[in-house]
Parts: sequence; C-alpha cells; structure tokens
Amino acid sequence: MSDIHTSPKRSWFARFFLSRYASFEFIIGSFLTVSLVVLVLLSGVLFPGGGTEVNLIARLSEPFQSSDFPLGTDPLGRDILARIVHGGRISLLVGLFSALGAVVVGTVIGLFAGYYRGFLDAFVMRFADVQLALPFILMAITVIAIIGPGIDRIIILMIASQWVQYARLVRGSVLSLREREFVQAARSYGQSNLKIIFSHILPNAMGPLIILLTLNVANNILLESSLTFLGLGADPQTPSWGGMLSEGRSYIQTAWWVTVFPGVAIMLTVLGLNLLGDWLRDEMDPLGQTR
Amino acid sequence: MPATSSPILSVQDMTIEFGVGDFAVRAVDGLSFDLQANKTLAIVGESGSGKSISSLALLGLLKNIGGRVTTGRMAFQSALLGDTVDLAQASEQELRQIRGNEIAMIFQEPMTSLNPVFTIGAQMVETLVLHQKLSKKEARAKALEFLDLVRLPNAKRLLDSYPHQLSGGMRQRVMIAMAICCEPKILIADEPTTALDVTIQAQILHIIRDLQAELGTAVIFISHDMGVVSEMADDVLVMKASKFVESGTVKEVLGAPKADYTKALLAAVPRIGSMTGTQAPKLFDIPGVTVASTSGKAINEVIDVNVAPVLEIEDLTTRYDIRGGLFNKVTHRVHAAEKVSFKIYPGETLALVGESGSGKSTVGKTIQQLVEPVSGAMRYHGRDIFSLPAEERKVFQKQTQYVFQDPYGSMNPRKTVGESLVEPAWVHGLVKTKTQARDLAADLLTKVDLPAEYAGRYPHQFSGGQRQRVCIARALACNPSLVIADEAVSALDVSVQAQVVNLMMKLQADHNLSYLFITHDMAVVERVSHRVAVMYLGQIVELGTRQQIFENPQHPYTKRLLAAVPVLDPGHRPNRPPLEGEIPSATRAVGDEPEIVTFRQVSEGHFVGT
Repeated sequence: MSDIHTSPKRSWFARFFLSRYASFEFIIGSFLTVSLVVLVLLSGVLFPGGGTEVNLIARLSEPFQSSDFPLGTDPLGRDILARIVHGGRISLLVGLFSALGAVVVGTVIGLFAGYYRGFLDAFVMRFADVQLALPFILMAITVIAIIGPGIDRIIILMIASQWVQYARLVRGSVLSLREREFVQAARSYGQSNLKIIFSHILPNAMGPLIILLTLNVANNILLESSLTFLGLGADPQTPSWGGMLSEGRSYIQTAWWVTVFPGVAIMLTVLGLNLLGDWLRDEMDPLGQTR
Repeated sequence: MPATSSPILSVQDMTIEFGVGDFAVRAVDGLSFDLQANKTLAIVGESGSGKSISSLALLGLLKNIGGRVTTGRMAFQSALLGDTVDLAQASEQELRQIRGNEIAMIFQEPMTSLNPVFTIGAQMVETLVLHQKLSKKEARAKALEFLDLVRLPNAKRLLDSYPHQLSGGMRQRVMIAMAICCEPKILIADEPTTALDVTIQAQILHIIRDLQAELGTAVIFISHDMGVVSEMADDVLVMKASKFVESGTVKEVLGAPKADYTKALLAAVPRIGSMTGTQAPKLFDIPGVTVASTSGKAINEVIDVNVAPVLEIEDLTTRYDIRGGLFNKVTHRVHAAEKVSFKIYPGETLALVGESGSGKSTVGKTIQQLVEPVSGAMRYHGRDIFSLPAEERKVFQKQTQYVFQDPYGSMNPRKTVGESLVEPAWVHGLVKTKTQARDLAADLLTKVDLPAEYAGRYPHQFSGGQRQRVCIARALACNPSLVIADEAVSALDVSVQAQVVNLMMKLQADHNLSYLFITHDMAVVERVSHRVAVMYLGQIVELGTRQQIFENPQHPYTKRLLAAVPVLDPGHRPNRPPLEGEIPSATRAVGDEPEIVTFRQVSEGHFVGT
C-alpha cells in the first residue's frame, strides 16, 4: 500500500538520499561499515603477504615514519596495517555471524515462548536461567576440549550461549504486545497465529533487539580475542583484532601502536554498526517516538 | 458569599507555549477567568483544547512537560504567603508551598496516580507532614478524619491497605481525600470521573459537592461531559483549540449558548430522555454537517422479530479461572457471563449495557471466538458454531467483526492504514492481488467518509475519530452481517462521537448490518439502539425494546443505572439518593454457583429478571 505515494521521477538512489532516510547516523554509519567491509574483502589484494611476514630488523617500528609500515610494526616486525586488514576477516566474521545467529535463534524462541506461554515458555525460560548461570569461558573450554578448536566452532558456541539474552528480551516485549488491542483485533478477524507473531508482534519488538545486536557484535569481537588468547580460537598465527590486542598487552608502555590501532579498528566497526543500528531502529518506527 | 468580592484566583491573558523559537506551539492562547471562593468553575472543551494544560500551569507543573507561561498573570490570593502571588512568576519554592496545600489537584486516572508500593495511610501522612508540619500521629488521625469525610467505610483498615486492594471508585475517593486533607482553597479536578462507572461517578460528584459546601473550597472542574458539568458547575468556560470561546453562568452557557461552537458541542451531546416517545434510532443533528449523506435507505424503524435471527445465543456461560495455592489449582472463577441468551435480528442494533465487570465485553469476545465459553450454544443463521470443527469455525470470524474501544491501540502502529484495512480480506481470501487490495482499501475509506489517499498513512497520523472510522472500515472489509462494537465510541470527544455514531447508523441502513453495541453510556444507547439488554454480574437482568427499557424500566438495577446518568439541564441539581457501597464482584469460589436469574414477561418482548 505504501507505494501509492512514491514519486516516480528520480532514481531510487537519488530519492533515497533526498528523503528523510538520509540522516547523520546513516551517512556516517554506512560509510564506516561499508569501507571496513570493502577493506577486509580486498585484504588479499592489498596485502598479499597476509600480514604474517616476520621482519626482525624492523621490529617495533614507530608508526607514520616509513611508507613500508604506515602504522608501525609489532614485536616480530610484522606490518600492523596489513595485520589489521587481514585480522578484520576473522573478527568481523566471528562478531557478525555469532550475533546474527544468536539474534535469529533467540528471537524465534522468545517470540514463540512469549506468545504461546504454557509449558514451552516455562521450559525455555528455565533452560535459559540455567544457561545464564554457566560461565561462558568455562563452557567454552569444556566444549572446545571435546570437539577441538576452530572459528566455526567458536561461532556456534557463541550462538548457543547468547541466544538467551535475545530470547528473554523478546519474550518480555511479546508478553505485553500480545495483550495489545491490535493483536486482539487480528485474532478477531481470524488471522493465523504465525502471521500475528511475525507480522504484528515482531516489528513492534524490533527496537531494543537492534540495539542489543549492535552491542553484541562488539562484545563478540573481544570475546573471540579472549578465546584466541586461551588457545581455543583460531590458529594464533592468523591475525585477528582481539589477538593483536592481547599480544600487544605487554608492550603497551613502550610501543603503544601495537594495541591502539587494532583497538581503533574495533571502535570504528562498533561505532559504524551502532550508528546504523540507531538509524535502522528509528526508520522502522513510523512514530519516531524513540528519537 | 457575594459575587462582588474579589476573586480568589484571577487569570488574565494567559498564554502557554511548548517548544522554542520557530517551533513554539501555543497550547493556550490568551485565557482569562476569575474564580470566586466556594464556587465551581467548569472548563469544558474537547481533547487538545488546552484545558488540562491550563490547570497544570496553575500548579506550576508545566516545566516538567516542557511548556511555559509566556505572557499573562495568575493572581492567587495566598493566605499562606500573606499576599497576592502571581503564579506565573512565583519561585519554585513558593510554588512548592502552595501546591497540594492551597491548590490541590485530582487526576483522571485513580489507578495510576497512587503509588502502588505505599499504603494509603503512608501517602496521606506524607502530604500532611510536609505541608501542615504535623507529627506522624496527628497526621494519621487527620487522614482518618478525611477518609471518613469522603464516605469511605472502614477508614481505619483502609489506612493500612495498598492501592491495588481498592476498587477504582474507592481509589478516586482516596485521591480526593488526599487532595483536600490540607483544606486547599482551590481544588482542581481534571476529569475526575471519566474513568469511572456512572453509578460510581454519581457518588464521587456527590462527595465533591458536599465537601465544597463543608469546606468552602473553590473548584475548577475540567470535563468534556456536558451532563456532569451541568450538574456540578456554577460558571462555565468553553475552550476550543487552545482559545477561549465563551464563559458565563452555567444557565447562560448551557441554556442559551452564544458561540456557534458551543451550540454545535451541545447539539452533539446525547441527552437521555430526549427520545421519549420515538421508536426508531435517530441520527445526531450536527449543525454544519450536512445530513444529506444519509440519503438512500433510512434506518430500520421497527425490527421484524418474525424473520430468522442473524445470531442466536443460548445459555452462554464464560468463566475465567483464577489459580492459586501450592499446586496451582483453580480456586476461584470469575463468572463473567452466566447463562446469557439473546437474539439479534437483521438490521438491528442490540445494545448490551452494564458497568465494568458486568461481563458485557466477555459476551462480545465469546461471540467473536476470542474467548472459549464453558457451555452454551451460538447459532449463526441457524448453524451451531461451537459444534463445528475449528477450521470451519474460523469462517464465522468473517461474518462477525469486532470494533475495539481504543482506536489508538487496535491498529498496528508499524503498518500503514491501507495494509491494516485489507488484512481481514487477505485472511479470508477475499482479495488475491495487491491491486485488488489497493482498490478495496480505497473503497473502504470512501465508505467511512475518508479520502482514499489516506491508505498510505500510518495510524498515528490520524485523529482519534478518523482512526475509529478506519477501524469501522476494517470491520466492513469482509462484508460481515454482524458488527460487535465494544465501547467503540466511548473514548471519543462528543462531537466526534456523534459523527461516528451517525456513520455507523448510515452504514447499518446501507448494508443492513446488525450491531451488538456494547457500552456503559446510556445516553448513546438511547440514540442508537432498537433493543437493549441490561447486564449485571454476568447475567442479563432486563431485555426489551429501547422504549420499554428507557420509559418503563422494571429491574431495580436498570432504574439505578438510568438515575445515575448526569442530565444536561442547567440549574437542575439532581436529588438522587446517594448510593453507597460498591458493585459486588463476580469472582466466586469453585463450587459456589451463582443463582440464575429467571425471567418474567412484562409486555410483548420485555423481559425482567426476578
């Protein structure tokens, strides 16, 4: 129905940027996110060495001094810029996929538990309570010890532990939304439960979900580094932002650049995603009440 | 008190704005009035007219919601500060002394204006200790005294009760007791009875009148209900869209209004008793709005009871279980509907009236299959619906449609109105393509007198009345034969209410619709209905044609209900006996079955429970 009023003259791209959609959050957020993704995708072309070449003569070079190592080198003389661009592969992969996986699983479970209540709800929520009581690292050590380390396993492990927070969040919203009159109205004209859940309840429960999702990405990037540090994550040879942070830890007094630049990379990623998340949440709310 | 004495409060040329600079919105524009001690000034107007904002300004509470008084004076004769104070200029500290002490306020929602975690006593004592510098013990004694004054039985026990243990009417009385416990000079009552049932409303109004006589308080009474205003006010001030319209004594303004707006407002007010002697429902006569739109078929005058009914309800019983105890067993049941039987004929409006908790909405929801009944039969065009399998039953949700009370809540805020409108049609396969859906949405909007282009808008871009029209349009999407209107016009302003009611009657004539009109508002019922069923504690106690119920009520409850309705008759103070007590609860222990009302026929089609 909404397409009744769209003016046909300009291209969709021009319309988009001229419309109310183009906001500060969107421009900055999409710029940061898109450029990061492009950099990471092109990492193999830009730095064919993979950021693993050791150059002990140039170890701990300061940044902004030579064009060979614009952001300096680490204790083994590896180019920090190259490592950041390559490290982005693992960090973004783990951060994004674990958060997305958790949001999908948690949301679906939360929606059904909150809507149908009863045994399903009681079971799922008690299970969630138990899971929340288990320290993640402890669980990770145990599971990895059994199934062996690897990126894919870390992602699955993160999803398995983090769906809980989404499920609880969504369930809370659903409990109040299912009593709202528009849901009753939909029931009164015979709308099916699935349709009610996904087309009436879910869109109204999205706001807090998106915020939690963007925060979760950042957390998971750091969590991946802890796991790598414990030797449960990726091969320590492969660069990752979290891994770089923990390696540079002991040099922070003498060579600040080893930790600061990967930190900045994480910060920019999170900032970009947060801005995009804020924008998305506002755009999806026709009332603009959260603005 | 002679009217020439200087007013206790004199507001001159008050202007209130929200926002800053170019974005400033005027909420009140140049309002002036005088308030005399011991008098009641009623400020009337529709929602958004600025009446509540004005009262908040008097208390200096605008800052909290982002507004400010830009010009004007509010001269208040404060005994406490020993001088005339301009409330617009007063410091926050001065205002704090006046607030709750010399000027007190009663809010609309008794459910939310008491803090749920403190006892009634604690909340009253807090006010008294703060303003009157009493010791805790003295304050408690005084609180008790005022709870007695608002006719709350068992006041001593109430002091130690929590708000949730009281009914709505009792809570509002506690609010009044709290407001007057410092013996204020001015009492501002902002729609104090809007959320209450009529019989409870009558009690509260009675109490406010008594208190005024006893304490000599000046009252500013804010209301949209002309009947209540006519009973309560000495003077009336009419506001429209943040501007002053007219003011004068209640006889002048309500009896012989000068401004066109006041005339239109009064014309839209349903007056109980105004239909005496007529048989058919009648449209509201709204000046300025052409009645030509009702051309075509007229409303059915008399309902032919010899044809087959659209819907027949027999011994419908719906109960809600209340679980408790160690093993979560059912300990109590709410007997929301108990052996309810009635028929609805084609083209007929059957009004189902009663107060909150009478089970009238439950009956509606059971018919719409939103609630499962315990027992009983429901025959739709002769087919027994409850005996059908679930899949076939769903088809009947197409034939009956439900319109909810709250037009703000009953549409998904994230969908355009066009999407919401046609959703029922998608569900029942009446539209198959997007083009069809678009055409249907446009068609439905035109039916309810809205431009078809509005389909692309979101619900929040509509006014309350427009939104309720959209909800009615959605109900028509599947060409139903029965529409259940659950308090569908109760939340609307009077002029809008009149328009929506007219629209519903017009649609009834055009499509031969049947309505089950669920409401507590007897005056509207008198206008729209062919037959009336009165419900009390889950059972129908009286059933008859409109004329039979309104002109010859038989059951004591029906009589009480009708007597409690405020009458728009300026100068006339009702002399109804003060009703005591609360409506009993329909919650019963398991096994404690209520007594079933048996009917006797008074005259043709008029049944009264005994």
